[in-house]
Amino acid sequence: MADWGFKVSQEGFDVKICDDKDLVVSSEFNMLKTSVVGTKTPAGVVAHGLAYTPVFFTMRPFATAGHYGLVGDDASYTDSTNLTTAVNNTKYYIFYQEFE
Amino acid sequence: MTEETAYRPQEIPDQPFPQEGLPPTVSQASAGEGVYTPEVVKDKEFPVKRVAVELLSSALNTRSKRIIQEFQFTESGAIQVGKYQAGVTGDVRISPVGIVARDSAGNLTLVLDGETGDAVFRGEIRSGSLVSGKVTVGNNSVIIDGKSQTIIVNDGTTDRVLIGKQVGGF
Repeated sequence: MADWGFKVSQEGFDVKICDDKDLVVSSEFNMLKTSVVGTKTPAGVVAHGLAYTPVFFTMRPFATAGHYGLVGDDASYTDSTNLTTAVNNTKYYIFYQEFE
Repeated sequence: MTEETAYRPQEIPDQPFPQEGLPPTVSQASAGEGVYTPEVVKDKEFPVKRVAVELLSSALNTRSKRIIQEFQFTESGAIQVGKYQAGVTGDVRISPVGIVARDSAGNLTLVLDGETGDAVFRGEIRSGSLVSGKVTVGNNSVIIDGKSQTIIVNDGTTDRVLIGKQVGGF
């Protein structure tokens, strides 16, 4: 536990003494901070520029234009250098947070 | 038959002017010497005009109504500047317990408590910088506390936002 940060509580809860579950946000907990967002056309490699393997989201498109599937419902993967998509026009979100 | 009255012109004797005919003033010689000398009147200088130049020019500018230098004050019970008249004028009162100012509506616009050091201002406070241990904004809506190194924001019922230090809080 650290001594410094900021936090906001839900209505009706004293931010100084309430449980973590009653907070809206707290710097105690790591939050996903977006590094890169894009659409990979054609499928292939995206260099993320981070020196570690980051957390990422990918969504592959359906046949209908503008429709996308669930996050992770595709064969994309990442390592400490690149994000590699498996389907054309895959949307991707790469975060600063490192896989743990 | 009545006796006729003889009228004669009234004669007015000559009267010398007050200084006329008086011998010039001379000093009286001491008896026996017989030497007469004129009385000597010593010259007398006109009194030098003295103006409190120091007070007017470098200590107190009466034209601009400004006090330029430090003055030493003697003890006094209290001072009241102005006379309060409802709707017309306010006043300022200075006493050993503090300073109180009222506006023409009777509202206290300035209060300095000489005992506790508390100060209340009705108007704005403007400053190039402000050094304070704790600042409370509104009715405890925001509290900035330098001692605890926190900023607390209250939504009117509970403290909702905490920024800063809370031992073991993060």
